[in-house]
Amino acid sequence: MRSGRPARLLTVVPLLILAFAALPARANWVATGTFLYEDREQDLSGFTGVISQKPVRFADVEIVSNKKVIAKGSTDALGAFSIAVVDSSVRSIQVRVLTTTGYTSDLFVRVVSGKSTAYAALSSKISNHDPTVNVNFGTMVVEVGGGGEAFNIFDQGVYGADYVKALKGSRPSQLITFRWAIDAGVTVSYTSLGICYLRDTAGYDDGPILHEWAHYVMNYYSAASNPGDVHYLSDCNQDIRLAFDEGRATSFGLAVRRHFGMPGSNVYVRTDGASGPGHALNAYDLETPSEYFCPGDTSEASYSRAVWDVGDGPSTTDLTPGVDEDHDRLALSDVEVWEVYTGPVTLAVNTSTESFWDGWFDPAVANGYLPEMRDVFGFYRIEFWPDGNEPNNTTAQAPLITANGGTWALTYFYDPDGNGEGEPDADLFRLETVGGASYTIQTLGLLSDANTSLEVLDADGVTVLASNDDRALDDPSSQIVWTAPRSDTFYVRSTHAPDYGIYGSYELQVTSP
Amino acid sequence: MRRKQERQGTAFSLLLLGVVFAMTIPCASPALGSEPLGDLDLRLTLVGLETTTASDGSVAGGVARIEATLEAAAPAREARLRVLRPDGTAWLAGGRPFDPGPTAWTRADGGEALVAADGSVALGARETVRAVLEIPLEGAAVHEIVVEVAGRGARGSLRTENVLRVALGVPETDAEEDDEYVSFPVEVRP
Repeated sequence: MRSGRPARLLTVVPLLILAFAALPARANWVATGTFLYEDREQDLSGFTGVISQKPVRFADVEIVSNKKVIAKGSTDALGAFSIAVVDSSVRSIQVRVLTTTGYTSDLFVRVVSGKSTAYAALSSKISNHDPTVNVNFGTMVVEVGGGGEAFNIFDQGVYGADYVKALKGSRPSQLITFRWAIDAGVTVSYTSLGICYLRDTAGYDDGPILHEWAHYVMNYYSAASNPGDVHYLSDCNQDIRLAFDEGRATSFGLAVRRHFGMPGSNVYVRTDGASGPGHALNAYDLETPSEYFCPGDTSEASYSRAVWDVGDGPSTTDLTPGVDEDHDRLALSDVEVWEVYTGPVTLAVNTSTESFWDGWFDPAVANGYLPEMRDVFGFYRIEFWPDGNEPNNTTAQAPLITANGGTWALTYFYDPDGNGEGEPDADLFRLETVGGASYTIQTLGLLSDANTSLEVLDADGVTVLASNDDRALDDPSSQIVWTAPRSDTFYVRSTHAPDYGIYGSYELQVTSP
Repeated sequence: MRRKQERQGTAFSLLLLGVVFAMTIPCASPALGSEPLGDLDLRLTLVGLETTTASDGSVAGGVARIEATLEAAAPAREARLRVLRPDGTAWLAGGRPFDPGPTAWTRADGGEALVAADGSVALGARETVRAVLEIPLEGAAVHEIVVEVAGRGARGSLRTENVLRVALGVPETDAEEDDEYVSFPVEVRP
């Protein structure tokens, strides 16, 4: 029995040491205070000239002594912090707030400089601090030009994370990094491989910051086949994959501002960051369709406005609160759009507005509101529904088209069950000819991804007598000049040539001298 | 034994790298998105800075050589350039509004730009022109030079600007950067 005591002691003593170590140690003093940052408010002209103070929310806070961290915590939603410091030494102390979220378990946002170091806002030093005395550091403000830009970017990241939480129930679990510096030499913001690289002058450009954040979110939760490259708001002939991804980034980014009731949530403005009011490089407004108006889904401006209309309403904090456009009868929850992005769109080979449209009506989502969706998207001439001649996919269904009978407004869109989701379409027409007469059959006014291909079929409806895909190297419309071999019934078949999409609007015309 | 620890260390490092990779790299396609540009896009690059000193050795002023690169998304004409202070008033030299004179634009591809006698330039869609400006600077400061371009397009007037901050004789910011942080001092407010 006696010989067992030392062995038991050897076991018990380390356990006691461990137990004491695990107990919370007594806090000798408490550090409190509030961090705010200066924000420069914006409208379509750039900066309004108003500088407001906003809380540095959910950011890491460290109590430091001679560059050594002696306690850590984080700010709350008001920018306030209260950190218990275990300390027994008289020493100089400072507090700093960081553009990182390491001490908030479900938040993963950081803003770093060009050298990948985070930003810090550091209080002045309190010398010879007595470790039994609590310290209120007061209200500390990170100023414009003195770190305010980095903390504004950080705040947009926090808003973004909380918007995702509102959509899916939790903040993103993936770290998002904003890389920004006032002198990094970045002249156009972009997003690649999980990092948003922000223009040197973008520190207060909330729209562009959230645009890049939205690219990151969509790359992670949805899918994108954006080919990339420089792109312009006035370009009405964009690649449909780029138009969708860029328009989605703008509308989804500004939807964060709309969700949190920020004023002018519909405004996307780029500035050069110069002092004082104004200084817009370029701007656009998701509620003014006449600006950068482009028909069809080959425009990022058009897609951004259409999908914005799905979620906005009279109560939206835009530039015209209390009213909404006549064509816009929708004011749906952003969750409806999110379900499409994170559901059917992820399965698309080429993500475009077509993927969004079909996804909206996909039975797995079944968001409905077909008439209202037609009104909203149709306003921008994005016409993903059957034309009035459907079904005309076979010779038996082909309506009569007459020479010199005007133009036919058509769409490539087949929806046999009428649920709104489309299928590839062929448009066939019957043409009664006079033998020896010349006929010019052509497509005109191509919109969205309408890339036409025309054929003249013999009376059997099978034999191809003439065909044309593109009338010219850089013109995807089609034209056939054909002489009828006899007086008879022939057929004109129009199909969508292979491309990134399968839908689109066009006009068909048959003329004869 | 030591070799085993090294292997464990390597394995741990690889695991850590994997975790970091998983946290920072999106799973889905890494499409490259960027911000949309307007009808005109102006970029400024500091290509030279001459400093003049006073008799006591302090910085008295200088000249900033700035390359302005102008790109048009759609055809633009009568595009003219102005050098401004941030408040929108003319840049000053010797207490008077600074006139940079007719701008000598050149096309980015080396060809001659279509420049009118008044220095305005016409650009085709997606065309880029460049000019070098020499801007006088007075006193030691961070000079904010705003360059504005205004012209006409198919849908009416066009305008854009950009700014270049030139630190002359003073640091650009009061930030201190070390291996961990870029630190700014905070202002305590009541």
